[in-house]
Amino acid sequence: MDVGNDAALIVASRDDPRAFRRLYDRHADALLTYFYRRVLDPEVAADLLAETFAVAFAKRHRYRDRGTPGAAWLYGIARKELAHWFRHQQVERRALTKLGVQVPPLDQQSVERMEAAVESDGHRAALAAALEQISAGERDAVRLRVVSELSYGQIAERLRCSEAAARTRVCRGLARLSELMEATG
Amino acid sequence: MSEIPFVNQLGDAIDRAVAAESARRPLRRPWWRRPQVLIAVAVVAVGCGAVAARTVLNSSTLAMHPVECLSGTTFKSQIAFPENNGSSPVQICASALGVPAPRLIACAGGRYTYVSVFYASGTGQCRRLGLRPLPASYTAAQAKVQELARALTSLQTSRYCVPPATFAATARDTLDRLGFSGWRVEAGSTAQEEAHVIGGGDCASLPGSPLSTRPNIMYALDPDHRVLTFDLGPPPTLSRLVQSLAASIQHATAGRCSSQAGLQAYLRRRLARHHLGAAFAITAAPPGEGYGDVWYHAYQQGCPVVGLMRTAAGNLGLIDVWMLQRGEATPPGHGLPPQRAFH
Repeated sequence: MDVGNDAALIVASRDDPRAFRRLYDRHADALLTYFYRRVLDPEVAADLLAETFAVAFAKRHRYRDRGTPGAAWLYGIARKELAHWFRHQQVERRALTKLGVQVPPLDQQSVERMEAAVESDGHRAALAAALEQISAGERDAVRLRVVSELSYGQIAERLRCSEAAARTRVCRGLARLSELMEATG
Repeated sequence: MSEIPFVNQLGDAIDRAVAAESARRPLRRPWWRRPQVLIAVAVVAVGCGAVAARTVLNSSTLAMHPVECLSGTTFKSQIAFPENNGSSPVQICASALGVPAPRLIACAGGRYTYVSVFYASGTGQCRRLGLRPLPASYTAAQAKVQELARALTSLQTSRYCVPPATFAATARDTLDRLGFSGWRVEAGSTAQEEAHVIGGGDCASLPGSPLSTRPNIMYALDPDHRVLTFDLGPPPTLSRLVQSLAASIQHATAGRCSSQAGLQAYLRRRLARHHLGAAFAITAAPPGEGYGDVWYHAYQQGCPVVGLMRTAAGNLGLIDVWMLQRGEATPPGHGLPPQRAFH
């Protein structure tokens, strides 16, 4: 990963949209995979990607180039967006709204390619191992939400718990999975 | 370009929103003329190819842009942005990449509107990349830009402080003489916006890297709008001294934890060696600031650190030092403290 040029692109993007697009082109794929690996939901990953770049655009004036990787700054924003989602199960869309970005719909081909990207880096095996390490309650909640795509109300019904509890189990399970996946690289 | 259609569509959507946002804001200096871009002789991986060449290849415009050197035969190669020093693009990139000039080819056009130099891979390479060969008139256009640079650089280096009217008159005369018709000469809005960071002052200068000993004409010229922009601020030599001191002090203090009074005493001593005084403002770091900065770790540990140093407005012998420490009040507006906070 380059140090100087990401930093230069962030600083440059204060004045010219082309530089911001170039920064986007350099990191969007990797960030989308980063999100998808952690939230296991392509729609959420796509929204997180969009909000991350909207926040980056809004904050680009506050970035200071002191020779540190510009990518670290971008991933710092990504981590904050991810943490927000884990806490609230909702993607913060404030920056997107402020900038006026119309997020395009996620098509099936994009989802398949996201999955292929994640598959190719050995993520599935790591995920299976990580799933074994979280509690059974959290694992069931995550599976019902991510694999079966049930609503929180339906998960609550299946697990015989309140909707809030179901939401908490999914959230905790995904956060724990994310930590485990992070630890395994 | 990404292989994931959504990523490209989202990029286009952000482009449209950013363009609309930019249209609502006043003109600022184009990104590639900013100091940080050209000083970054960086080698990076670019995952995106060029789009079809839709830009008219105007040699004057090209000569006012940086040269992009790619260490391969396509846009997917590593990339470097060396300074456009007046040599031919192929020569510039041969030096930057450390390869013989005959192995390189210069093309132009495409999305980013500057000269791109690649490793040569046979006839029709520029066309295959969605670009065109460099126009023959580029060399003459580049020579004119360099002559303009020489005139303004020599004015700037001949005096400690060039009055704005003198700088603007010289710039206008030189532009006319070289046949750049319809150009305006302006003090940059960027200079005013950055005055809170670099400090106040009424000296005109070509924009340049803060730590560079040389100004650079590329940062000043906007061929799209035919505007030559100059900076207003402290004398360039003083600016460079303060920024160099700031970087050195930040590194020196990042690894040690002292009291506020101890840090202030150290700063006063360092500045006094250059016959400069200090005025301090102490706040917490604004939310989200500092990640990746040299002082970030020390700040997180609760130590006072130096966030920024600049020439004080109206007093070129005084340096404003913005100190940061956890637990102090957050600055109003989450930005730099107001001038009155420094004492």
